[in-house]
Amino acid sequence: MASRRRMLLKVIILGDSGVGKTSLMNQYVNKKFSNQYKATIGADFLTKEIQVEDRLFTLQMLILPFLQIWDTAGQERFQSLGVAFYRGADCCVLVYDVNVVKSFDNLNNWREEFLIQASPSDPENFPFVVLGNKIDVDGGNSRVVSEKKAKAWCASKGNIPYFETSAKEGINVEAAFECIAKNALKNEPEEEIYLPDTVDMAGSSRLQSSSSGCEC
Amino acid sequence: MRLREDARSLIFTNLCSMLGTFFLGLGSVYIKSKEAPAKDILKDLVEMCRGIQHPVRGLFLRNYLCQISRDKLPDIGSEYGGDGDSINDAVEFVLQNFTEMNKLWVRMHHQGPIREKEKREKERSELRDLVGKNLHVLSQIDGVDLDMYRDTVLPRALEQVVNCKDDLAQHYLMDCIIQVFPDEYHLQTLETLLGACPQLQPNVDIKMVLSQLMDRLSNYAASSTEVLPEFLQVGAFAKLSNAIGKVIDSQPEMPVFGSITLYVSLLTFTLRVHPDRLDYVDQVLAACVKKLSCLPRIEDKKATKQIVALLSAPIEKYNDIDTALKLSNYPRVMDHLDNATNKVMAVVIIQSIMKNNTYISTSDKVDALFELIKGLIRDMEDTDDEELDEDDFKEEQNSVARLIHMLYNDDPEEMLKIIYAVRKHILLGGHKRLVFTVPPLVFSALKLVRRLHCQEGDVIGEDVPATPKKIFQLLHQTVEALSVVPSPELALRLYLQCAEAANDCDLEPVAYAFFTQAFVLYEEEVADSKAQVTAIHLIIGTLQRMNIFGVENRDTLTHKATGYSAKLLKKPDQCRAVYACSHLFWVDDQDGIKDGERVLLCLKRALRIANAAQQMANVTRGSSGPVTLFVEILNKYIYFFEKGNPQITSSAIQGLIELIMTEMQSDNSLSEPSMDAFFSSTLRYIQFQKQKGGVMGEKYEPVKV
Amino acid sequence: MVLVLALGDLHIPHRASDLPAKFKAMLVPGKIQHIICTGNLCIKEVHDYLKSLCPDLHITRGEYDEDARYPETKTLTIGQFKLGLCHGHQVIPWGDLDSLAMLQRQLDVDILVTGHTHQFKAYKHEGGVVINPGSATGAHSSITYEVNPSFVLMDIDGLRVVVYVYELIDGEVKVDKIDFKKTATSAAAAAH
Repeated sequence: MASRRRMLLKVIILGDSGVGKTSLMNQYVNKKFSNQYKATIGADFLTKEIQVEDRLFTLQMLILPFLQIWDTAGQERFQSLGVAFYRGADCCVLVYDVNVVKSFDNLNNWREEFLIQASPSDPENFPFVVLGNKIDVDGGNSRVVSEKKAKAWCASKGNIPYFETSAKEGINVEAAFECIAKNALKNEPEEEIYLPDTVDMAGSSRLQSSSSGCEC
Repeated sequence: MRLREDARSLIFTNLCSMLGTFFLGLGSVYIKSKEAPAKDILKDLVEMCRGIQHPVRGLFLRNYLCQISRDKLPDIGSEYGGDGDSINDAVEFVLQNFTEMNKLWVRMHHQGPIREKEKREKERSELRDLVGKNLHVLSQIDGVDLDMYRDTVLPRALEQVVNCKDDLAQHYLMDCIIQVFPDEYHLQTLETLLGACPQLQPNVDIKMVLSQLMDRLSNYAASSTEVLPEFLQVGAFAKLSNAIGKVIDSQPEMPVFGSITLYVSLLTFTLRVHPDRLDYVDQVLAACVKKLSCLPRIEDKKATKQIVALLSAPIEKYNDIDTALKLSNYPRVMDHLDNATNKVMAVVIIQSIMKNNTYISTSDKVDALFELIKGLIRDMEDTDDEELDEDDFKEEQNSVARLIHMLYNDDPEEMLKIIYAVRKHILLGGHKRLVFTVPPLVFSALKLVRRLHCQEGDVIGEDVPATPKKIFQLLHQTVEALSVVPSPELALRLYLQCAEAANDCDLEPVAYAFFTQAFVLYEEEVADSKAQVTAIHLIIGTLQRMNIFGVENRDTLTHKATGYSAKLLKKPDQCRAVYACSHLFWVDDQDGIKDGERVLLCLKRALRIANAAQQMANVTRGSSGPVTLFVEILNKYIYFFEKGNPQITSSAIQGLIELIMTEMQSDNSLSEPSMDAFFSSTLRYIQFQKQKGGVMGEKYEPVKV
Repeated sequence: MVLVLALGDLHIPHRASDLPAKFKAMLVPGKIQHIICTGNLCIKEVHDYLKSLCPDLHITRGEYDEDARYPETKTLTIGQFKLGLCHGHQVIPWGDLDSLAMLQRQLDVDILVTGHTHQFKAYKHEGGVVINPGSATGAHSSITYEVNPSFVLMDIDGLRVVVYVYELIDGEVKVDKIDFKKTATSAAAAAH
C-alpha cells in the first residue's frame, strides 16, 4: 500500500463556475470537448496515469464543490465534506476565463480559500499553477484580461507558472498539466495522503454519530 | 434491553457498510478485469446496496458506488462496452441509484425526534450533492443523447422528484436538472419539465426554479443567433407563459411578489429571445394585470420593486419610449402601483426619453404618454398633501417641464395638436404645477409661431389650422391660467414674450392686448419694489423693440411706462428707469422713432430725480449721495450726443461734467473709489473720442476735460 | 494659465430640456478654474450641475432665475484681469454695445460678460472686451432668431486672454478663437 500511495499525485482545480474546469480535465484525460455547459454537482474527479522522469504516477484531478449557484436559496456551503477533499493536495490549479474579468479578480479569493482549507505546512512555497482558459472565444476579440496582467499577478504571488489554454481547441492543455504534475511531484507530502475510499466512510461515521444521537 | 437493541442495530449497519464498501471495491476491480459483463456486476452492486437502509450510511455507500463506477460505466467508445443496450444499462443503473438515494435522503426528514428537525434539515441540506451527483453523472454520459434524455432520463428523474413530495428535495433536484443538462435538451423537453412544476409541493420556491430556467435559456439565446430558430420551432414563449400561468393558478398561496417575479423572468426572456415580438411583451404585461386586478392596491415593498423591474425592462431594452407607448397593458400595470412608486416610474420614463433624445411626435402619443405619467401631472386620489416633500415635488415638476420640449413635430399642424394636447393635460395639474408647466408650453408655442412666421407665404387663408393668430389666442388663455396660482411676475414676463412675438408677426392689436395684460398685472399684482424694478426694465426693454405700434398706441404705452418708472419706490431706481425710458423715443434704426425732445425731457427728469436723491441722502446720511446717478446720466447724454440727437449739446455735457466735479469736491463727499473710477473712465472715454479725430473728434472738440 | 468658463441663458426647463450632450461631454470637472454665468439657469438642478463642474461659480441674476439671491452685477479679478458680470436685461436697449460700454465703465472692468440676447458676441472696445457667450442650450429668444447653443472658454495668461467660442452648428461643435492683449493704460485702470 505504501508504494501505491506515493504514486498518487493529487491536484485540486479551483475557479469560478463556468470557466471550464471540467472541460480542461476532460480534454486532458479523454481528449473530448463539448460546447454544452453542464454544471458540476458535488466533487468531481478524473484520474490519469502519467510518467514523470521514468516513474509512473496516478494523477488525480479534483474539482471541488463550489456552490455559489446553489447558494441563492441561502443554504450554507457544503463545508464539512469540502475540507476533507482539500487535504493532502500536492498542487492547486487556479482557472479563470480570459473573457470574464470577475473570474480573474476572484483568483485571489480562490488561492486564499485553498490555503485556509488545505492549510499546507509551507504555504509560501506550496505549488500553484494558473490557467487562463477560453482564449479561443471569438478569435480572442472578447478577451478582457491581458496576458500581461495575469502574469503580473502570478509574479506577485511568488512566480506562479502561468498558461493560456483553450480546452476547446486543446491548446496548451497537455503542457499545462505536465507542468502541474512536475510541480505536484516537488511538493513532498508531509502527511498521509488521503484516499477517497477511506474518507467517505470517515465522513459517514462522523455525521452518523451526530445524527443518530447515540452518545451512549 | 432498549440499549442492547440500539447497539445491535448500530453494529449491524456498520458491518453492512463495511462489507458493502469491500464488495463495491471488489466489484470495481472485477469490472476492470473484464471477466464478467459490466452490467451484471453493476446490477449486483445496486441490489446489494439495498441491504443498507440506514439513510446516511446508505447515501455514502451509494455515493461511493456512484464514484467508483463512474469511469467504468458502459458508454460510447468506452472500453467496457458501448452498444445501445449497455448504455441503457448504464443509465438504468445510475437512475436506480438516484432513485434509491433520493428515497434515503427524503427518509432522513422523517427520522428522529421532532425537536431536532431543524438541525436535521440542515444536515440533509449538506448531503444533497450526494444525490445530485447522480444527475451529474447522467449528464456526463455521452450516450445520453436528446432521445434518451427525453424518453428515459427526464421522465424518470421527474417522476422521482414529484413523487417524493419533499420540499427540499424537489427544489434542489429541479435546480440540478436545469443546471446539469444542456440548454438544447431543455428547449426540446420544455413541456415535460414545465409540466412537473405545478405538481410540486406548495412550499417549493418554483419561481426560483423557473427563473433559473428562463435565465439559462435567455443566456443561451444570447450566445448565438444560430440557436434562435430552435426557440421558435418549439414555441418556447408560449410554453413558458402557459406554465407560469398554471403555476400561479395552482399556488394561490404564492405571495404577490412571487408571481410578479415570475413575470419579470418571462419578460426578460421575451426581450432577449424575441425582441421583435412586442405582442409577447404586451401579453406578459396583460397576464400581470390580470393577476394584479384581483388584488387590492399593492403595498408590499418587494412586490412594488418587482413591478418597477417589470416596467423598466422594456424601456431599457428598446431605449425608446415610443415602443412602450404601443403596449396597451403598460399603463394598466402602472395603475396598480402606489402613488409614490407610480411617480418614480414616471420619472424613469421621462429620464429614458431625455437620455435617448426621443421625440414624441404625435398628439396621440402625447396623450398616451401623459396617461403613463399622470402621477406627476395631477393629484392622485388619496394623496396626502403633507407627505409631499417640496424639493421632490419641484424636481418632479421640473422633469415634466423638461419633457415638454421633447414633444415635437416638424409639421406645424401636428405640432399645434400636440400643444393643444399638452395644454389639456397640464391644466388639470392645479395651481401648484402650473408655474412649472406653463412656461415650457408657452415657449413651445412661441417656437411654433416663429416657425410659421419664418416660412412666410405658406400660411395664408382662413382654413389653415395652424396660424399665429390662433396660437396667440391659445397663448393668451394659457398664460391667463397662471392668475389662479397666482404668479404675476412670471405671467408678466410671458405676456411680454408673446407681445414681442406678435410684433414680429405684424399683429398690432394682439401685441397691444398682450401689453395691456402685462400692464394690468404690473399695476395690480406686482407689489414688491425689487420685483417692480425688474418688471419695469423688462417692459421698457420690450417696448423699445416694438415697431408695429401706431402713434396712438405707442403713446399710450410709452406714457404708462414712463409713469410707472417715475413712481418706483426708491429714487435711484426711479432715476435709472426714467433715463432708460429715453430709449423709447430714440430707436437707432433706419425707420426708428427719433424724438430728440422727448429724449431730453426724460434725461432732464432723470437729473431732477438724481438731484432729489442727492438732497435726500444729504439729509438722511449726511454723506455722499449717489453721484453715480449723475455719471450714469452723463453717459446717457454722451450716448445720444454721439447718435446725433440735436437736443443734446456739447455744452450740456460740459455742464454735467462740471456739476459732477463740484459734487465730488463738496465737503460731505467721501468719494467712493468705484465712483471715482466710473467718472474717470467716462472722462477717459471722452478724451479717447476727442483724440480719435474725424467727425466724432470734431463733435467733442468743445468739451473740455 | 487659468481657464474660465463663461455661459448663460440656459433657460432650463422653460425653453430647453438640458444642455446639449456634446457640451456636457466636453465640460468635465477638474479642468476649469472658474465659472461665470450671466444668469437664467433657471433652477437649482442646473446650479448644482455647474457647481459640480467647478466649485468657484459666479452667477448674476436673470429675469427667470428662481434663486433671488443672485446679485444684479458682480466683479471679480482673475490674474491681471478684472471681470464684470451682468445678465443684461437691465441694459436698454438690449444688447446695444454703446450701452454695454457704459456698464463696462461703471463696473470699471477689462472684460464685461453679459447675456440676455442669446447671441454670441465678442467686441474689443476701448481697450477692453465685451463678451456675450450666447445661450448654452440654444434657447429660444425673442431677440435673436436661429439661436445656436454656445459658450465661451477664456484662457487667461498674464496680460493675455484667449477667448474660445464653442458653438454647436448642425450637431457639430465649431470652435473660434479671439486673442486679446491688455494695454498698459487699461492695466492701470484695473489697478485702481
